[in-house]
Amino acid sequence: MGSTTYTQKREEQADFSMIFFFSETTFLVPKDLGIKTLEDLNGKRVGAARATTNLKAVEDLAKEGKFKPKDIIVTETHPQGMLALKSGKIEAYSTDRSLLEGLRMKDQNPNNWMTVPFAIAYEPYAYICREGQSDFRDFINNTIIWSIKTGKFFELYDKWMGPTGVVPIPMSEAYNNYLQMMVYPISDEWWKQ
Amino acid sequence: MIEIKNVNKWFGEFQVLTDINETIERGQTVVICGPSGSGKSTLLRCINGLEPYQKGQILVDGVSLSDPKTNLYKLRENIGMVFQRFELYPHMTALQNITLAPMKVRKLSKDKARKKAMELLQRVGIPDKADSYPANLSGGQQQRVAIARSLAMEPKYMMFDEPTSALDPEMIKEVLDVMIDLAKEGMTMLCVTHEMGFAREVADEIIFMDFGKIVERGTYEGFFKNPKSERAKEFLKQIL
Amino acid sequence: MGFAYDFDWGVLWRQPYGIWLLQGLWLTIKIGFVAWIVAFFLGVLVGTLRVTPWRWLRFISTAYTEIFRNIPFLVQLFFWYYAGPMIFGESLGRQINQIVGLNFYVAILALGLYTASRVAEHMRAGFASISRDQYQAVLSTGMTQYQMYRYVIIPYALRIIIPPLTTEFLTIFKNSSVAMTIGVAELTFMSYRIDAETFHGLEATTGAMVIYLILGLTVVRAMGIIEARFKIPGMIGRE
Ligand SMILES: Nc1ncnc2c1ncn2[C@@H]1O[C@H](COP(=O)(O)OP(=O)(O)OP(=O)(O)O)[C@@H](O)[C@H]1O
Ligand SMILES: [Mg+2]
Repeated sequence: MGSTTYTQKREEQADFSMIFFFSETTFLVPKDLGIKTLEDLNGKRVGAARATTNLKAVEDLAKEGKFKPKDIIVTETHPQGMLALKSGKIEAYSTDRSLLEGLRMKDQNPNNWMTVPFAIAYEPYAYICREGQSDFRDFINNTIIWSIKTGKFFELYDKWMGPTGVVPIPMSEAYNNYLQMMVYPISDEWWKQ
Repeated sequence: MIEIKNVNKWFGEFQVLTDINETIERGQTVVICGPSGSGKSTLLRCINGLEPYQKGQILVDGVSLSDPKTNLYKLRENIGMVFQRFELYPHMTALQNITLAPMKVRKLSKDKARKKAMELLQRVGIPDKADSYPANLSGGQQQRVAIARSLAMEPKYMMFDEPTSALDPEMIKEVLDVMIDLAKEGMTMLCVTHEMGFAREVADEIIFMDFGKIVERGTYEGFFKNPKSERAKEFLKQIL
Repeated sequence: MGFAYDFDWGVLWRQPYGIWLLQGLWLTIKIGFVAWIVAFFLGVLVGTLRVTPWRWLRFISTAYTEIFRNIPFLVQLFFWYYAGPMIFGESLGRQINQIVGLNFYVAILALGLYTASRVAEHMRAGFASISRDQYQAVLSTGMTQYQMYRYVIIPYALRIIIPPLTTEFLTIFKNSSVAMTIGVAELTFMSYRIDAETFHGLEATTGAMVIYLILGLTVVRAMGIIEARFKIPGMIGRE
């Protein structure tokens, strides 16, 4: 079990828990390139990791003609994407904003890079479980809801992605609202059943 | 003329040749014999520069082999060599074996080289084997192709290193006949062989080597019939 | 059902997935073929230099062989792709990194260089199996070292090592799948891509396996024809 992007195709082969996080597919670019909009990426070489929904989003966008990259370069891992960016093989690397911010912070010069202010796709995150085991899925869902209700979820979010966390990603209002709306009354000792 | 003066050679610590002196005049046939390991093959390989020697001097037509300015490749064109195990090129036909060096070294045209090769095959008695591969020839036929291959370069000297010792008895004669003809036509020859019949027919001089030294030398009558040294007597007893 | 996976072989015919596999195959063939040409000629050259009388050429070719055959190919590929352009300095390196399709060219080159070291080793074994007298027989006709290798020894040695060379040629197609890790969309890459898109990885992988098998058998057949054409008459086991 691991967290992964919820897609319909994947749903056909496995079961997903409730969605507990949203990530944006966007780009990490050199700051001095001044990229503000998707059109600014026309004629640029963009990269993404193999077998990610981010790559799919970039490819689909290019196929639909929404932007015209010079080349789409596939890397094996995110650090390799960063390496490709730094060595000038690509001008923009795409994955989830959270991961891109992580890559940026780990670089020697985090200020040379920026994530662009737009996103090309939104990805719901959920836990993936084996198909047809609904008891297990219920258990996971209840755990998520319980942690939101007790505030544990927000504590953890702050620890990792709060302003002083490892990868600061501000929690948007929409996301916060979504979390609150998901919670239904749940007894503190639900797992005893 | 080949002049060998006081030649000494070592393989590491081991001395293979000790104070070898010998002169081979044009047109002469010299037979070298001696027990296994006595240095006969090594001496032949020194004469065409396939092996270096450490002391002394070898002159071929007045040109020293140990002189760094000497072009050994050029020199070898004049000295043909025939090996115990034929050493034909197995992926080439008899004809290709013979024409290769004339075409590549002498830059002969393919037609000229072929014509010459056919003449040589005629001369060694197997013109019908021109397109056969070595594996499809008998040992005697292979050795005759090897002789033709050497002759194709029109050498002034021919060296034979036990050319018949890998052959069945019935094939030995066909090779020796070719060699005898060559000698009678005036080729200068240096032959390592224990074939007494050949020595009797054409040898001008017989050299007996043992432990890297020339122990005895003489004519056929002198050596084979009346050997002087004990080693030669022993050796002859074994091969006869 | 007891088997939590629904097979859907139709994924292999459905578009664009079927086309993807064929596109991947085409790239695999291109990489393998061109890399093999590089590997063959470079391998013969390096293998020959290892036995020549010139000491420093021997040293260089031995160093080449040992370096390239002792480092895993995956590592070499990463090195050439990410560090390779830096060898040429800052500005030229940047220009190299601009080349469209760089990963494809690097894959060919890296695979060629790696396989060349293996071909060189087979060459050396081939040379070693030729007797000393055979070499001397060639030289005794007045041919130079170059002529000896060019016209007799190399053609002879190559014929001896056709069977191991066939194996290397097969291996080059299999190793080309490693190019996936630098984003070359060859056959394995495509089967993984189908997996990522459809979650039908087993079908895609099976499809790729069958294609590799057919490709391999074709190579074996082709090399068999070459072997029959070039075999040394009379050599044991070749009739
Ligand atoms: N390349 C070499 N390195 C070291 N020792 C060698 C080499 N070639 C020959 N020898 C040794 O030198 C000695 C003479 O060898 P050579 O082949 O000249 O003898 P030979 O008289 O031709 O013997 P045979 O009748 O067996 O052919 C032998 O003891 C042999 O082992
Ligand atoms: Mg000998």
